[in-house]
Amino acid sequence: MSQSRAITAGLTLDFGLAGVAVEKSQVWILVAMKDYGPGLVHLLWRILGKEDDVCDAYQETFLRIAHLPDQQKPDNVRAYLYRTTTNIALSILRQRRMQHKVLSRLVVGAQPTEDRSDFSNELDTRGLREELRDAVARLPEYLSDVVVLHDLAELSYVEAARILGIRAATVRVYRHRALTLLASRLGRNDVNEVRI
Amino acid sequence: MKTKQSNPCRTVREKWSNLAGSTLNRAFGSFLRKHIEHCPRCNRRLLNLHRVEWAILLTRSQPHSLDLLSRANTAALNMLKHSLRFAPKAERLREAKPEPGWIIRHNPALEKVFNAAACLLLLTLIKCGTTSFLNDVRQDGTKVMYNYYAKNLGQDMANELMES
Repeated sequence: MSQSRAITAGLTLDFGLAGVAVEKSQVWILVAMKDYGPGLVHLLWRILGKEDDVCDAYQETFLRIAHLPDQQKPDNVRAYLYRTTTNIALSILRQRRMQHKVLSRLVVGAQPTEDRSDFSNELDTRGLREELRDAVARLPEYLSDVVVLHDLAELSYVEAARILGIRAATVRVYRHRALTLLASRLGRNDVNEVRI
Repeated sequence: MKTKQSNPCRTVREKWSNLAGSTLNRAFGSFLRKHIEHCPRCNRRLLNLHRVEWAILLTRSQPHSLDLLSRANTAALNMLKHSLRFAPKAERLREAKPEPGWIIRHNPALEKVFNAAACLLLLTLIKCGTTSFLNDVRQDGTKVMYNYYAKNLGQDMANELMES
C-alpha cells in the first residue's frame, strides 16, 4: 500500500525518523517479532538444528501471521505464534526425514550418513540430538506438540496448556506418553547397549 | 475366581510417570532400586528414559551463532509489506541480538541489594539481642552436657571431655 493511500485511509502511524507511514493495523506484527522473536528462534533452533531451516521456518511463521484473513490480530498472539512455529518446524523435520529415507533407499547399500568417526568418546552428542529430532518427528502431533513446547521451548505445563488449549493435567499425561514412546524408539535405534 | 496379582513392573511404570520433576519417596526409592537390580526390562526402560532426558538436555544446550536472530528477523521482514519493512522498528529488529534474561542482566545490582539486606538483618539481630540470647542457649546447653557427663562418667572425665 502506498504511503499516500495509507494516510488517506486514516490508518497511519508516522515514526517520524524515516518518514515512512506504517499501517497501524499491522504494527503489532513488529511488536510481536520484538517480544517473541528471540524465544521463537531458540525454539526453532532446538527443533531443527540448522540455521537456514530456522530462518525459513521463522519467515514462514510471520508470513502466515501477516496474511491472516482480514488482517486481524489473533486474540492470543503468543499462543498463535508458538503453535504456528511448532507446526512449521515439525513439518520441516518430517519432510527432512522423508527425504533422508528416499535418499537412503536410492543409494544401494547406503551407510548411515552421519560421520561418527570424529566422536571417539562413548558419547555421541550429535547423533543423540539427531536421534531425538527424528523420534520427535515420528510422534503423533498431539504428543510432539507437548514435547516441543514443554521440553524444548521450556514452557511450564500451564503455559503449554494455554497455548494448546487443553488442561495442564492433560499436558502432563501426554508428556509422559511421549517420553515413553521416545524412550522405546531411542532404545531401539541404539545398536549397542546403553551404559551409564 | 482369579485374584488380581500386583505386577511390580507395572507399579514401577505407573509410579515412575508421577515422578517427573519431583523427588523420590524413600520407601519407593528402595523398592525401585531392588526391583531394577533384578529386572532387566525395567532396567532397560529406565536407561532409555534417561537417554531421552539426556538427549533433550543436549539439544537445549546446543549453541547457535549470535547473529541468528538478526538473520531470521531480516528474512521475515523481507517478506512483509513495504511500509513495515522500512519502519524504524524494523531496522532495530534487523540488528537484534539475543539478550540474557532479566536476572542475569541485573545480577551485580541484585547481589549488592541482597548483601545490604543481609547486613541490615545482622544489625537488627544484634540490636534485638538475638545473638546474646543464642549465646545464653549455647552456654546452658554446655552446662547440661557437663552435668550429664559428670553424673555418668565422673567429674574428671567430664572436665576432660568438655576441654577437648
